[in-house]
Amino acid sequence: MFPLVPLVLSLGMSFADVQPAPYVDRIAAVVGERVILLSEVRSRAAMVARAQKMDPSQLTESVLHEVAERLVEEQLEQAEADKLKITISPQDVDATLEQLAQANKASVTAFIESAKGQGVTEPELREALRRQLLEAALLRTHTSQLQRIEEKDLRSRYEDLKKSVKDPKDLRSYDELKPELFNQLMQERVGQLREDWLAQLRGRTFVEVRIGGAS
Amino acid sequence: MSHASVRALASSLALAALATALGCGAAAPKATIPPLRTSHENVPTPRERQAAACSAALAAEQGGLVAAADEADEHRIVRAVEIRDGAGHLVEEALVHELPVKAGEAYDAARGREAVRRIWATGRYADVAIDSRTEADGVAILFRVTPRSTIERLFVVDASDEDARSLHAREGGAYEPAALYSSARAIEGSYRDRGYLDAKLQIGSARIGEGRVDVCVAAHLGPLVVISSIDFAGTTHEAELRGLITSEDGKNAPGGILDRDLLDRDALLMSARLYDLGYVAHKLAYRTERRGAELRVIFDVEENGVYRLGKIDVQGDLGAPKAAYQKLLTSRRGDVFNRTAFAAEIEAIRALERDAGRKDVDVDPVTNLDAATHVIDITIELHDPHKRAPATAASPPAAAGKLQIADLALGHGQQARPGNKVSVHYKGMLADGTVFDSSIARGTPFVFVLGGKSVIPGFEQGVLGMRVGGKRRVTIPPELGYGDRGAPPTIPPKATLVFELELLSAGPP
Repeated sequence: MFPLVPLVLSLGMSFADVQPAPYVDRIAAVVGERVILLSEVRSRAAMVARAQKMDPSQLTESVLHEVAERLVEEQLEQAEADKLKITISPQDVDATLEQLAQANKASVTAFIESAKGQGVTEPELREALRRQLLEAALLRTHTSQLQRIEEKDLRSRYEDLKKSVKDPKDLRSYDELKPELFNQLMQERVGQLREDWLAQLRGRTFVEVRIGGAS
Repeated sequence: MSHASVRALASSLALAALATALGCGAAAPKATIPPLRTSHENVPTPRERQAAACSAALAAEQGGLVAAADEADEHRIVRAVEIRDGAGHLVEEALVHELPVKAGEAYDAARGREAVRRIWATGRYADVAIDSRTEADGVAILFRVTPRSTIERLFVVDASDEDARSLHAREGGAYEPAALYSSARAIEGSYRDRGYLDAKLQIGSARIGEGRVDVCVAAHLGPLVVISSIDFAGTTHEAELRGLITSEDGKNAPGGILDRDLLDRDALLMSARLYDLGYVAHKLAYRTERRGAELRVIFDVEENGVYRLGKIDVQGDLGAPKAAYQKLLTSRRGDVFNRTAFAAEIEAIRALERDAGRKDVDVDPVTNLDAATHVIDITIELHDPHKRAPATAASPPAAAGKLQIADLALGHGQQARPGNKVSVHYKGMLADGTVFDSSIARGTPFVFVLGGKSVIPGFEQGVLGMRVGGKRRVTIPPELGYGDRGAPPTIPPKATLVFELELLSAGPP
């Protein structure tokens, strides 16, 4: 497409006469019997943009597609949670908020204020935490599928690390690094479990994303 | 920022939270606290304003993909609401009156979305969009609908007539992909239940004209997968556990197909048997290994040693001499722990309490396992809700240096212990009843760690020992509150404080 925006700006054209339709919206994705609207995708994308201090012009069609994909995942998760009768209470969200604040050496109030400073309102922050806790609760029902981390896995990861550094002497000892390696491996395995589980959920439901694909 | 990182933004935090929740020791997710931007940085330059206007104009041309008017900025009065099809004809005139967007009211984007969902729920449309038209004194809201295509021809390949009838698709009927997909998945499931583990129904559609499609559904059943063997690993009681496997209609036996529901139930029975053999810390799970059309079922068992009984005690609100309870406990120190037998003894104690007219008494066995010695100590705690002091109408001022506690309602959940993270609702009052703080009014429970010294000592001591669901009135003397200085301007010097507390949760931090 011809890059209209820079051209128009360089010509110093005015858009005072343009009268766009004030309210427009459409279906961005279908998940089973439910729909996600474009305004919901844009709203989430705008929040991400504010939090990341992104230029709004970076919210391209493919970025919106990625956001829509995430909203699809959330719909799938919510449907699964409804089926399993899993809910997250406001108290659960409060406890996590406090944990986050402590991790950042801040009070809850200061943490919420900081989020506001990043463009994320308190209701948005709480809703984001609720969704994350819900996903964690759902994934916990599948932890039996998590492969156990054995000593040999940690050793092997340490050997890989050794090979990747210029001078192995610079590397901390295995015992020192073991907890970090364990966490790293666990995060990877949980990440893989999440991907597999979401793929399963997706396979069971009709999903159609109607806004542009990745570039 | 890359496109992938947009999704990762949400996911990474979720993973960290999950890892923590799973107890793998991952650090709590961190979020940065950036300095606040100075006000002049928030003011868009004329060039930025021009760019925003340009983006909005282009967005309107492209169907509002990139940006649109800020929902919060404008709430114009709706002058007309219409549903129109692709040809511009008015449709669904009866439905218009049921939509949450109404003429004469200010437009609200959330209601607009709800209206789209209502129209979508009719199942008659493949697409619904909101369009609008500026009018002199407001705005007209148009819901543009695209009717579903009609299925011209339906091809069903390699599926039975019954399956074809179960599909949500008919020649001459509307093409509803979500419903068709769902019916196909249900058919696949029924094949898997019959041993066709690879069963897959593929769906294809082709547009053959305006509003008409051909649909093809092809079934690929794959081989019938049967059990080759059922093996046990890690147990010294294989024969006994194997004997608990039920086989109905040849299922869950060599040569038969796998029935997971049945096998899950049998696994629970096996686990119960291991508990009765003293394997209190055992682990049991099964997995399958597929080789072509054969399936090997393997039960992995970790017995983790036989536990024997150590100390057995009865404590709490005893309604009879201890000996009366001990008489009912036939298990003895040194016996192999048997869960079923022990449960029967607990039931006998409950019956004793009931017979003595103490039907509300809770009988809770608390076990303590020593993995090194394989000894299990058991304390049976009796809790009589009627034995606690009732609430007083007005708490007297606290005696010098002494905390006063009145239980308003006894909880039955987890007990708050030192080191626990607890969540409470509270109302803090001065002795004259003036409320100076309330988590209830804020709508947010207060969360803290007991023993963490993050609150006044009296508050911490007041929560200690409560059970989840319980309510207390705690009168705190100044020595255990804010002392001689108070906390101006809210709390005067040397103030006695009264807190009404409700314990919402308690558990490990």
